[in-house]
Amino acid sequence: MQCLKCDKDAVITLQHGALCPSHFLAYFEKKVFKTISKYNLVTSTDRVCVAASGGKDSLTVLYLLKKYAEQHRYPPPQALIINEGIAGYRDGTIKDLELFCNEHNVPLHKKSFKKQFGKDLDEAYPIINSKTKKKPCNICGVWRRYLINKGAKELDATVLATGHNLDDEAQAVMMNIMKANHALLPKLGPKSGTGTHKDFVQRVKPLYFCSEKETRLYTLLKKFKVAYTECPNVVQSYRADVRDVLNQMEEKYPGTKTAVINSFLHISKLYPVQENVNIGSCTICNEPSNKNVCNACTLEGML
Amino acid sequence: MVTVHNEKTGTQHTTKRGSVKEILKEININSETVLVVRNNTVLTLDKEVKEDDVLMLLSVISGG
Repeated sequence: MQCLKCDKDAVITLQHGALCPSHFLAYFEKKVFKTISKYNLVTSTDRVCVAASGGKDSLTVLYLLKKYAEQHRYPPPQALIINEGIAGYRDGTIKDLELFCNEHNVPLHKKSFKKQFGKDLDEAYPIINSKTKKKPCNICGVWRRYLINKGAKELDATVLATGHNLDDEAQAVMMNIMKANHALLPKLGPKSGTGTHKDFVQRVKPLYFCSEKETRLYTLLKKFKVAYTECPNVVQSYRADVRDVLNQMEEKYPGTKTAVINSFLHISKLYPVQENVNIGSCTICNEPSNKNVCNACTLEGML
Repeated sequence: MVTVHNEKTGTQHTTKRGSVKEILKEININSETVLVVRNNTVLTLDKEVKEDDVLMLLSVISGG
């Protein structure tokens, strides 16, 4: 198939046509930069922290936010990685991230479950699971969100950027609908949350409209060194089942994921703005919580 | 025959020639989950794959 814009061979077929490598790279970067400006994800006064894993999504976010900052003369982003302690998974991506940050002159900060909570996820999971039946992703999600927010605050960041892509977001919308988690829906979107709280760093998702396939192609064409590893715990997750269904639908009916996101963005305008008026502080760690003891400390207390 | 290496599973398939779309269907791989590479070039689904070609399937799904 020929590129829509020139006579070269295409490397990807999108809904509006096929693109060659150089036209795809330009299209992808333009789409990300448009998302940043349209949704006001980053401004000239923001100090950006990128929650990075060393995977394809976070390296792409880091690279493009740095490029965007240079173009607009904004402060450069910093990177923060959380080591969950999952054997055979995180060690490789940490090395890739260290290499990337070194090459691109990005300050890298590290936190770990072991240092914060006293145990790696691999050690904590069987203990917590025996008492609560929680799956590894339930524990990891709570601790990761906690440490990312805490770490970003320690870096004095005003914006916390994550590598969530179109696939992640379409999955999250469908998961919340299928589990009737209506209260969580307003928290989705390119700029997470519809309310603000002084102890929560604003989360933004520059890859919101980029599919997983597009992002992998971008990193491949840019020759980023990325270990394409999947978390070994993902097979136990509800998300993996939703992901597979959405991929089946997308293959048969191209544009399905984008339609899910666009429908959500349309409907989300109908949700009232939520102010986090009931958010207090955890009596143990003093981090923001709507309960006396936050979820992270509750899980830690079971160890 | 066409040889197909799968990056994610580390497995190798052999299959008859055809378009990329036909080959993925033959080995039961969802085209949304992979990039198909031949000689360092990414192929679109309509590309014809010849006898003795070697393909690499790169998984687009990563993380958790």
